[in-house]
Amino acid sequence: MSDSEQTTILVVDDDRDIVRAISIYLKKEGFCVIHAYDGLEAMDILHTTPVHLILLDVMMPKLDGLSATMRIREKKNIPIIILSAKSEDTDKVLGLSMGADDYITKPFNPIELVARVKSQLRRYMNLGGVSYENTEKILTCGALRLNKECHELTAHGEPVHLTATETKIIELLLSHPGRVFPAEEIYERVWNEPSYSCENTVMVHIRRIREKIEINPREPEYLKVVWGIGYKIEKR
Amino acid sequence: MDIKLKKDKKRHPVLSWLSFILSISILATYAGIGLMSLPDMYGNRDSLKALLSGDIHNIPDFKYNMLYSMDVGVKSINDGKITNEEIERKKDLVENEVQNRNLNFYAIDTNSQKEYKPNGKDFGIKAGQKPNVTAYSYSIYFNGKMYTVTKNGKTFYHVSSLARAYFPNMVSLEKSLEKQLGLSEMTKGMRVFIGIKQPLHQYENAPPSNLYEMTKEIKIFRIIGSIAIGLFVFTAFMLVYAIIKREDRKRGKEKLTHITGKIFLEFKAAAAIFVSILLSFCISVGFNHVDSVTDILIIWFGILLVSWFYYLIILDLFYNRVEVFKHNIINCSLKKYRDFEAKLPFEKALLKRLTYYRLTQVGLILISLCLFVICLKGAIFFSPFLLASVIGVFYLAYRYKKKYSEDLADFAKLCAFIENASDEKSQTAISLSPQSLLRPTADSLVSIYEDAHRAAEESLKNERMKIELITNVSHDLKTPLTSIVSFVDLLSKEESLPEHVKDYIKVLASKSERLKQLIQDLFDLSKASSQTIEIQKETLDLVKLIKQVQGDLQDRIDASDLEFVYTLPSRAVYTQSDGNKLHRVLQNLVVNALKYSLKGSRVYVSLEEDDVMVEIIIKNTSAERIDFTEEEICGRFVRGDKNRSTEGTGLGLAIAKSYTQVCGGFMHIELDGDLFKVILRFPQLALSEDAEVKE
Repeated sequence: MSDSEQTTILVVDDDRDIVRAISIYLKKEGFCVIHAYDGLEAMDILHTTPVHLILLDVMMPKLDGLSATMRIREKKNIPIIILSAKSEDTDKVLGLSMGADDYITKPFNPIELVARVKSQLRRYMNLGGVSYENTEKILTCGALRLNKECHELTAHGEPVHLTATETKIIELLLSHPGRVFPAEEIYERVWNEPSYSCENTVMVHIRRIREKIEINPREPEYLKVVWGIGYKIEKR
Repeated sequence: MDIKLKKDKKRHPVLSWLSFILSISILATYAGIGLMSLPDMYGNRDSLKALLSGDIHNIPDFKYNMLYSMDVGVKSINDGKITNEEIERKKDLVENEVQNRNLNFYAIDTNSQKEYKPNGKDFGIKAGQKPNVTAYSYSIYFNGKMYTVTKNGKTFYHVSSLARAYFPNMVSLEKSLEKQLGLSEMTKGMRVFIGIKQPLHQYENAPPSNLYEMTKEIKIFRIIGSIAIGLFVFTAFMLVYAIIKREDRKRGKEKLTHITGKIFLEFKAAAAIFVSILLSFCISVGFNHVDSVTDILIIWFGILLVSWFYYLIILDLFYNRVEVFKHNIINCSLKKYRDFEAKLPFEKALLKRLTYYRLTQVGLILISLCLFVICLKGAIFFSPFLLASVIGVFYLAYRYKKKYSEDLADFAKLCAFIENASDEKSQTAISLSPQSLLRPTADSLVSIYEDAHRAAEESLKNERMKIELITNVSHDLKTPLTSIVSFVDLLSKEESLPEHVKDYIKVLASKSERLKQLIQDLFDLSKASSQTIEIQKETLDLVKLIKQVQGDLQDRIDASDLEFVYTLPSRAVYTQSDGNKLHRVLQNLVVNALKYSLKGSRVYVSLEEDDVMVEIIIKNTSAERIDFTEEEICGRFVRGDKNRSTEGTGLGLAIAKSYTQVCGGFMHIELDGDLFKVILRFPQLALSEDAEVKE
C-alpha cells in the first residue's frame, strides 16, 4: 500500500456527484484523488501536479474528453481511462484510438472501475520490469501473462487459479492471439481425443475461464467467442 | 418615350436592311449605266456638258442644225446644186423652223443678187445693213468675210471660218466639216443671216420642229438628270445610314433569315433552279440583241433581282446552316406525324405507325410500278421520278426499322430502370430522346422513383433524428444513474445500518441494475428498428452457434428444473449473418424460455433445413395462460406476465425480432394453447466442400 499512497489519480467529470462517488471508492483503496470538472481545468492540474492516472468523462463543457486525451497524449504517457455514457462500439473504438488506454461505460460497476484503475496503474508502474524475464517462457497479451513452465497465469497482475484443462486451453489460445479456434480443434488439441459433439463442453470451459480472467465477464476484453465460428484471444 | 424607342428599335432593322439593299442596287445600276454609256460619253463630252448646263446653243446637234441651215441657204442660191435629196430634206428642216417662227433666215449673193428668203423678209441685209440681233437668242451673220456669232445679243465669235466658230476645240472636226460642206468656197461674196428666236415653239398643224424637240429633250434630260442626282444623293445617304446602323442591319438579316428559314428546302431549290434559268436567259438575251433602253433596264433589273436572290440564299445558309437542309417537306411531315403519334397511347401509336407505313409503302410501290411502265413505253423523261420513288421505298423501310429499334431500345431502358430501381440508389434518370414515345412514361416513372427516393431519405433522416434523440436521452439517463448505482453501492457497504435499511438498499440496488439494463435494451432496440445499426456479416455455422449459446447459459439451464431437448443436424449449417447479433437473439429466446416456462417442463430447440432456408425452432410450455397475440408479445415492454413481477425489461422478444430482421432473417411466433413456439428463418448459404473444410 505504500506505493498507492503516492499514487495520484485525476478524476474529471462535469457531474460532481459521480466525481464524489469515484473519489470515495479510490480513496478507500488508498489513492490520492484530485478533482476537475471540465477539460481545461484538468489540463491546468496536469501542468502543475504530477498525476499517475486520469479518469476522463467524454461529454464535458469547455474541452471534451476526446480532445483532452489527444492533448495529454502529446506530452504524457500516463494511463487514461475514459468514462462515458456512450456505449456504442464505434464510440469505444474512437476513444481508444484517440490514445485512451481503457474505456468504461456509464453506469459502471464501482468494483469494475477500481479493478480497471488498478490494472492500468500496475501496467504503467511495472512497465520496466518485463524486459528481464525470459520472454520465451512467458506468453503475454495485454494484462494476461502466462508462464509456460510453471503453468501460472496472472490477469491484471493478480494470479488466477485455473484447472489443468483451462490452462491448456488458455495456453493454446494465447500462443496464437487473434486466431479463431473452432471448438473441435480446441477439443482435439486439449483433450487429445477425437471431437464429437464437443461444442457445449468447450463453451462451458471458455465461460469459466472468462469469469476468472476478465474484469467484466459479460463484456470480455480478452477471451472472446466468435459466435457461430469459434473462440479466440483478442490480439493486443 | 420608352414605347417610342422600342417601336423605333423594332422598325430599324428592316429599314436599315432595306436601305442597304436599295442603295447597293441603285448604285450598281448607276455603275452599270455608267459603264454601258462610257464609250458613248467619250466622244460626246461637249454635248453632255451642254446638256448638263442646259444651254441648247452648245449642243452639237443644234450646231449641226445651224450648219445645215447655212448649207441649205447657200446651196439654194447656188443654182444646180440644190437638187440633192439631202439638201431637200435640210431645206424642209429650215422651212419647218421658219413656219414655226423659230427661225429667221436670209441669204443673198451679192454678185448675182439671188436671194433665199423663207421668211419673206431681208432684215435690211440686202441694203448692206447689219441685222438687228437683239431680238434673237442666237444668230449667225456672214457679211462675206467674217462670221459673227451672237448669243442673247452678245458677240461670241468673230472668225473667218464657221466651223471654227462652232468647234473651236476640235480642229479635225472643223476641217472635215468644211471639206464636206464646201462652205468656205461657196460663201464667198454672200451675206447670210440665221437667227433663232426664243422661246422655241411647236405650233399645231405645223410641221415638226427640230429645235423645239431639242429644247424639250434638254428639259426632260435635265429633269431626269436632277432626279438621278437626287436619287444618287439619297442612295448615298441610305448607304451611309446602312453602314452606321450595321448592328441593326445584322438583326434585320437575322429576322429575315428567320423568315427564310421557315421556307421548305424544296421551294428554295425550285426557286433557285428557276432563277438560274432566268439569269442564263437574261444573259443570253443581253448578249444577243438589245433593242431599247427598256430592254436594257429589264435585263439589268432581272440580273439585280437574281443577284439579291442568291444573296438571300447565302445569308440563309450562313445563318441557318444545317437547319436549311433539315427543314424540308419530308422532315416536316414526319415531325407532324410524330406530334400526332405522341398524343396516342403507346400501343396505338405503334399500330397506327405500322398501318401508315404499310399504306405508304404500298402507295410508293404502285407509283414506282406505274413510272416503270411509263418509262418502258419510252417516256425516259420520267426516269428521275422512278428513281426517286424507288429510293423512297427503301428509305421509308430504313426509317421505319430505325424508329422501331429506337423504340425497342427505349423500352429496354425503361425496363432496366424499373429492374434496377430498388438496388441502385444513384440512378435518377432514364436517357430517352425528347421525341421518344415512351418519354412521358419515363418521366412519370422517374418522378415516382424520385418521390419514393425522397420519401425514403426523409424517413431515414427522421429515423436518424429519432436515434439521435434516443442516444441523447439514454446518455442523460445514464449519467444520474451512474451516481445512483455508485452511492447505492457505497450505502450497501455501510456496516452500521439497521437491518431494515439494508433491505431497502438491496431493493434500490436491484432496481437500479434493472433500470440500467432497461436503458441499454431500449437503446439497442431503437437502433435495430431504425436500421442504423451496424451489421458485420460473416459466414457462420448456426449449429455451432446454438451450441455455444447453450454452453454459455449452461449454468442457468442447470439451475432451472427445465429440460432442454436439442434436435440438431450433425453437420454444419451455414448462413451469412452477424454472429454477435444472432447470439443476442438466441440468448434472449433461451432466457425467455427459462423465465416463462412451466416448472418441470421441457424446452425443445431444433434446427430444420431445406435447400434454401434454415429454421431454428424453440418451443416451450408457458407457465402462465397465454392471453396475448403474437403482435402483442413482440411489442415493446410487453411481458408474459401482466403484473410484471418477474425480472426483465420486456424488450427481449422485441430486440430478438428486430435483430433477426437486421441480420437478414425472419422471426415469428406461434401460439397454441400453452405452447409457445418461436421460429427463426434464415437463408441458407450453400458452401462447397472446400469452404467447409476451411471453416
